Amino acid sequence: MSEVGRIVSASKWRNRILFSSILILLMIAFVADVAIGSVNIPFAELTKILFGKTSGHESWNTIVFDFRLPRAITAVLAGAALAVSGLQMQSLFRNPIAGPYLLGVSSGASLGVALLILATGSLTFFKDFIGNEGWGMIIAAITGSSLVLLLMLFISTRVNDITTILIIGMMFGSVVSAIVGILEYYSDNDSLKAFTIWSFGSLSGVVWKQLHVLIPSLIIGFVVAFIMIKPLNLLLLGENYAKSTGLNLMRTRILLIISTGILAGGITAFCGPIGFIGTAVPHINRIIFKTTDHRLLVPASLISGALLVLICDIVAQLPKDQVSLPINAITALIGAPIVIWIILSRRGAKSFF
Amino acid sequence: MNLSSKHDMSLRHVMFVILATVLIFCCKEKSNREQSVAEKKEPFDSLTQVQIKYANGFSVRYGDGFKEVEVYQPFEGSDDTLRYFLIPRESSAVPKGGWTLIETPIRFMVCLSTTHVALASFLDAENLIVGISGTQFIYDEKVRKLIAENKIAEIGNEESLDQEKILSLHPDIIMAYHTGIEGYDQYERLEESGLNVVINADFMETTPLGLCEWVKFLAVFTDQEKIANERFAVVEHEYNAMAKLASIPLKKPTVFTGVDWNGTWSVPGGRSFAANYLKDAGADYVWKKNPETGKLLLDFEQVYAEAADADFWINPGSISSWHELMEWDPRCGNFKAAQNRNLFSNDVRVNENGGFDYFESGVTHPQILLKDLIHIFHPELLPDNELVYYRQLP
Repeated sequence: MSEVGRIVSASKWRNRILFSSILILLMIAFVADVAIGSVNIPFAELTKILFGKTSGHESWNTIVFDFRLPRAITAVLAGAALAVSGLQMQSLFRNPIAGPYLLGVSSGASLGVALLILATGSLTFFKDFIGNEGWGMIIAAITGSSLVLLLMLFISTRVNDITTILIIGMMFGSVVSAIVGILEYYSDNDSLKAFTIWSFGSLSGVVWKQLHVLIPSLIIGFVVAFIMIKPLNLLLLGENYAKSTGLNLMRTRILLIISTGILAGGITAFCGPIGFIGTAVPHINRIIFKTTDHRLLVPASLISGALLVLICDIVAQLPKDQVSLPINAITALIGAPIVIWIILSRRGAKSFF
Repeated sequence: MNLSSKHDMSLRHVMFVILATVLIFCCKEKSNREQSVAEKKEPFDSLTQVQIKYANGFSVRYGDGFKEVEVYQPFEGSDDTLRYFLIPRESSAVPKGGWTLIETPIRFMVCLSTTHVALASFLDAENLIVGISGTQFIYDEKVRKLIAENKIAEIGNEESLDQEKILSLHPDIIMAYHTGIEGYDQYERLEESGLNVVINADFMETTPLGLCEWVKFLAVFTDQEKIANERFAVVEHEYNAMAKLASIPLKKPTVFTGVDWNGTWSVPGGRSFAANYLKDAGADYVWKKNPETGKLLLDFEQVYAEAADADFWINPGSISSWHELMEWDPRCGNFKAAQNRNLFSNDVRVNENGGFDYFESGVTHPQILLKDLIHIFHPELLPDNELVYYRQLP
């Protein structure tokens, strides 16, 4: 075996070990997230409940199955979806700080739902129309976030500076909250109530009924993301190079926007905006795995994003006997320093793009 | 924590006694000097005096030609005492340092809370009100008529009071409340413009009769002690009779309240106002053993762990039906009380703008509220009763 070949296979083994350890950590974190909560359930009882035996405390069964399991599953989904959508956006925009939260994609999802609930009177209209309120919300959120992605893509073809794009994304967020504020002002009590319930979205607010809508939608997003792995790698080499290999740029962009819109919009529709995960996780992975290859980055971002949000949720649950902390605050505490670091060491980040 | 606050209280009482003694001597001297002035008016000590039995938040002391009103602990965590020195109109007296001088009977009053309006209604003193914050939330027919006739002005909401409007009304007092939130209370700005702000701490009371007894607080300012004593005695008698009735049944149904709001479920502490109502109504409140007088902030699973099997669910936020509750959070359907549709809310008397009469006339009608609760928990005790403030949610 040649010297180069030995280094390549050594790094391959290194990455395999890293990948498996993250996977194992993910499983441990999942169990820990289910185990930790404001009500103290002994671990022995917990395993009993998880393996289908009923515990002596009937309320514990409900707590595990209706409260903690949906929350942990949502945390996994949110982390995976946000990280993958952030990775796609960074390669699509060729911008290291791109992410659904920072570029206003989450705001677009909020606007979509606000228009649905507040401008159509109330949820009942769409409930009759689509048959299930969850579908109405997720379609509105995905449409909203995809439109913002299109807009940002259009802007990024004209402006090349990453901080300018970031500022435009934040401005867009402000405009959206202003529009939502105006809509709230003019809407009746019932729809306002419905919108307030929605805007409270958090990991712990997601119930099985909503997961039935969320999971199939996200699967579509993930499948497209895996199909787009090769085009993403080509995009990294530059648009001209990508074109020269016969890549259909337009089709690639549209598919990426659809996938990102589904992943980021779907999560925002049910959990509300969760910041910084989408921007931070792909970077952490590039550093850990020392690669820009999407064949590794897409699955790695998926599982490490899930792991990071699970850890954030565990931290949020730590103040025992008290109300858990808002998940968005924890993700911001962990994610914002990473974003600051990226901006400060822009030369280092540029080496990836 | 409760122990230490009790300790504080007793210490505060001792301090108060010492302070009061000192003050009495000071005042005696002063009032001797002012006697000639005071004699022109009807001296206060010939009026019926109010006696405070249930309220812990204020005290009244009658002197020769003056009344001293003190308000203790105007908000949670405060150890302030606010002092008001009341003299008959057109008599003259110089108040001691730290005392706000107010001439009685007051003629014009501005109210910053609907509970203050309720106190005035109880004393038939609605016509003293010249301004209210949040007129659209008023439920009382008589007061609404006065608002419609422009005899009572809107003075803005609590975050942004219309100060110029208030000044133009020339109120003798502004009845306000102190939230203790920095930058939120605007009464200091009003005081600076020379207005008399009287802080009402009725919301700090932990018993229904204690809250209602604040009618005597207003009565001291309106010189309506007699009427306040008489009317309060009726309420007190009926309330205590009801509570006695509810103490008979051996089986006390378990009860919990509130609803999850953005991941937080606020429940009343075991010694809170709401908990005392439930206790007096013969119910077994799920958190009755908790020592807090304020509220507890829990999350959904904590509430579920304790209240899953409770018999009754009272006041689930702004939820108005079982169906709405299921839409709010389908997990609410796991509670036994929800499955049995034992859901009750105090939203019967609500005006078109969402003003709850429960927080208005409910303050001065604790006997009716208690009757409602007993009707819910022990229907056999009150066979012919009809609910007034509460209803079973459809």
